[in-house]
Amino acid sequence: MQIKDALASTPALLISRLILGGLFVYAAWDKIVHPDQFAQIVLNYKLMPDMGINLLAIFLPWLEMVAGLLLILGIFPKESAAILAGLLLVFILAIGINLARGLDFDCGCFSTSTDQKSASYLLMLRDILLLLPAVHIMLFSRTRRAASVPTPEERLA
Amino acid sequence: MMYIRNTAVIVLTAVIISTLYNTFSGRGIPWFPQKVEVKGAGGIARPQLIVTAAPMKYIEVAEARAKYERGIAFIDSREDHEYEAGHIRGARHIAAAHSPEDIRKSLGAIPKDQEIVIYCDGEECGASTTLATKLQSLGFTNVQIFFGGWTEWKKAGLPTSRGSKPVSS
Repeated sequence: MQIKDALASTPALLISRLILGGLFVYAAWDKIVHPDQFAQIVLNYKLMPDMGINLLAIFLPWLEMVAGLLLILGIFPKESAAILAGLLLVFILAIGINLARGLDFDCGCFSTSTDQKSASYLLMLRDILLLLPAVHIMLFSRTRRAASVPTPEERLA
Repeated sequence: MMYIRNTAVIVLTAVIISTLYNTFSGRGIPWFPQKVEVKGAGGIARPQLIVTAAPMKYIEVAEARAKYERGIAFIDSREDHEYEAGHIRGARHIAAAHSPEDIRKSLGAIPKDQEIVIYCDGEECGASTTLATKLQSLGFTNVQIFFGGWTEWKKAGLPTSRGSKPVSS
């Protein structure tokens, strides 16, 4: 099957890894440099129990950064992609819930502003689209132990 | 099984790095937010959650009025249309959503230790805290939040203005 071969090819996987990993490294950087601002946003989402807010703000950006870097480097690609896919699902859910509530994230208040709404829809769309390279990597990437050791897929062939 | 182990390695690495970074980088935040009692409308104390390392100073309407009369700079952190519909007379507008670079440009030559009062709609609104956090990140050390905000100011019948400039001509 030509499409399957194309998807499984190294260049295709490289593109997915660079897009997904690169975007997450970029997004994580700002949160790492300004954890107080990120904590404020987590607070404004009104979804996290109070006592967990700062722990999340401290830990999450580094999870994004580590998984993103590993993905770019091609280390543990399936697992890194799976972690980032999990995070994307959480973000999509969080944005969706707050769009339904009419909550404005910058102010943590209920606002009817259309600006904020369309920005949120765009964010959600971006996160949904990013699931594509994630799933691509999870399905087609091969975690090799050593060049000479066949992977489980290869042994079955 | 390998997948589980590898995933655990990634998560553990992130836990270790984030712990070290928060402790030693100088940009850390408290591990847990603090609950602080702030006096809002009618002197009723409301709990406010503080997530940042630097203490946030909250003031109520009487103190806000005193500062206004002394000519202290006020900043409205709400959105454009809210500011234009009515704001504290003389207050500048910087929406909480703006990036730190845009904020620094809007503030121009204000010295970093100058007293600044930020407000938004009122007690339910986090925009003032969001903007205050960004100002603190930029190095402003004397940022205060007028907790009662626009709601309390109007209720007290204090000077207001309309339009896109601090004071309408």
